[in-house]
Amino acid sequence: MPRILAVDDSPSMRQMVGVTLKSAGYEVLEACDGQEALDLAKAQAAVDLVITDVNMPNMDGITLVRELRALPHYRGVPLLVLTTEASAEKKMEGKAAGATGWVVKPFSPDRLLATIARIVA
Amino acid sequence: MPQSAQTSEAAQAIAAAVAQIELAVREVQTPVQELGLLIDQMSTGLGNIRGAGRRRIVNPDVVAVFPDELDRAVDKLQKQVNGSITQLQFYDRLVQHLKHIQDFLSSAAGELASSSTADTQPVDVWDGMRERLRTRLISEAQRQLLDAMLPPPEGADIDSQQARDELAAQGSVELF
Repeated sequence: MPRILAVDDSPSMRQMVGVTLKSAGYEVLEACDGQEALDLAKAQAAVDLVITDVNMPNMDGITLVRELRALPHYRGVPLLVLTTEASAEKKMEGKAAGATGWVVKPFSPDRLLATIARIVA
Repeated sequence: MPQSAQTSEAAQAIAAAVAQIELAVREVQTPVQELGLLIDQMSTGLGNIRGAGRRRIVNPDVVAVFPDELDRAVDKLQKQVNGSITQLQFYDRLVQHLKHIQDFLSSAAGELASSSTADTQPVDVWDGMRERLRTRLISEAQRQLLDAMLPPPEGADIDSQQARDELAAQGSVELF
């Protein structure tokens, strides 16, 4: 089954994303901020999708997306942003950084899983 | 900044923080009620599954009459779990919101403590604190409330349509 890296500084959000993904059979790796996620990626942790929050300490989600796109083995990995930010400007920033898609919290598990199934298929 | 102006700034900052806390509590009321309802429904659903399981054991022929009973009960339960996951995310928003207000009040307390020993304070210190809180707030409704209670130097531009649009965007998915 595909492996997904879930990045969020909130333990409860990581738990809810994890429960949702695991219910569909995905393997889940977790990181509590952008820096930890980047460290995992640089240590060659292979994933099929990254789901990241935006507002996090140490490294925010948009910067993480940009840094991951610079890694050769992450150039083709879908990067989904999951955030409370809904503004067009922030979405464009994410898109320009290399994000694959933008999900506004609170997410619906059904909708998130359907989106992931499309991306990872 | 003279002491009286400092006190006035502090009073406004505290009033703005109180309004934000009030908004935070108000915003989480409905999700918590929904969560309670879903937990109640899930408990009923579990009872239905238990009952369906018992009926199968007592009378295997019941499977032929109601083959989908168990599957339907499980599907319903999964939907309720999914609904709970959605509503529980509002707790996360509440915690974030309260943390930002806490940081703002800590800064205000620090400012007041330092001003008690200083003769004057830069006039834009309170504006800076206000702006820092504003950039960290996570919804347009929160930002507009702050602008109304603590207007920026250039004046507040309250656009309630923006807050409504943001509310409508919750849960949306866009693939680029």
